[in-house]
Amino acid sequence: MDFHFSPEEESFRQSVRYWLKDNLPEDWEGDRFSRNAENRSIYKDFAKRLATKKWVAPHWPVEYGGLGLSVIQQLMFNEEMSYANAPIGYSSIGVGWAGSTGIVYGTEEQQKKHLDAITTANRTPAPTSPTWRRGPYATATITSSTARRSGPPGPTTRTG
Amino acid sequence: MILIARTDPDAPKHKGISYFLVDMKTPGISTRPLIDMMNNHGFNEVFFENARVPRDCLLGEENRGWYMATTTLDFERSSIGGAVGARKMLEELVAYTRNTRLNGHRLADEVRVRTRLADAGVEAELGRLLSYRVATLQARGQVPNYEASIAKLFNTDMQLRMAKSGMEIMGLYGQLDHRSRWVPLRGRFERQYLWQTGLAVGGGTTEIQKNIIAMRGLGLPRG
Repeated sequence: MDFHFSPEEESFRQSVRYWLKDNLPEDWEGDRFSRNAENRSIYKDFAKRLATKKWVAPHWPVEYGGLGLSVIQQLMFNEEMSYANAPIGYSSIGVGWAGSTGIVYGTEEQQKKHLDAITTANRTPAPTSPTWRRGPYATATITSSTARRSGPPGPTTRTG
Repeated sequence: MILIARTDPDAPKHKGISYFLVDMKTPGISTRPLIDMMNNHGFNEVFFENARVPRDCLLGEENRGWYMATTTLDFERSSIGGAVGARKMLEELVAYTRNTRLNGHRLADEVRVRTRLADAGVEAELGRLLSYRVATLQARGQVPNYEASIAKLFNTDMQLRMAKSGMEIMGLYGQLDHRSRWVPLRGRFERQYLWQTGLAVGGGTTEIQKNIIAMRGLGLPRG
């Protein structure tokens, strides 16, 4: 049994490694998942660079803006990204959770609306309240909430 | 954002929940940052005040959200990031012990330090192989189950031990904040030590992983 990766897989790994060297800020030491304001422009710029390679979600099928990478290539990609400490806070929820679920369950319109914005890094993060301050948090007194349906019932989407 | 909300209050607990993809800029939605103990902004409190969520935000079938949410969670699997992060930390730590002298000799010459690093080397490699095992199952079209729990559990604990080893080897310098001018290795170990506490919760707590391993991996009865 041969436990080695194939030459093609190894060369893919190398290409990711070299690309990261060229495209991350020199001496990069930020946190991978944070959304800290001080580094926001770096996160966004890096996400845009990933997008030009279709590397925001490279394991997604081509029709959804990915490259359809194999599981092993995805593993290698993630390994290199993690080793380089590459920031993905800008897109991690969209790629890892919301978008992937949208591929499985979303309607065509929903997929068009969200997946393209994720893979092209073309979305602007929602603003956080400017009035927050560091320190003990005001405890919210709301412990439950209610919702109410308004408008006519619409068509129900079937799931698989 | 992903919003998972109860839409049928009378249905049993796993039924009657729906899955929405909601624009965070919707009027009535506001957020307040939660700054963690690393001084990081990764989470928010989210408030909904008379926010209107249009029907086209509903993902999939109404009241089937719970089952879709379990699909969402299935996307986090191999824990390879943790295994690789630990390997990088180890490499940095090895370099540090070679280049740092204490009481006239290099840290790397101390038996206590060397055995610690050797243990860490074995663990980092083991973590990587456990992650590879999960990916291999996926590559073969199989669904990793307790194997993913093993990788997650081991890598989380292993990273914490790695951070702790680093801090102990660095002595009191290891506890310095990353902005301090005296901090070794840019404070990565101290930060990792704090960050790791959260990782033992996120993606399924350590206790949940152990339950899965016990039930599905070892065939033990539900506790």
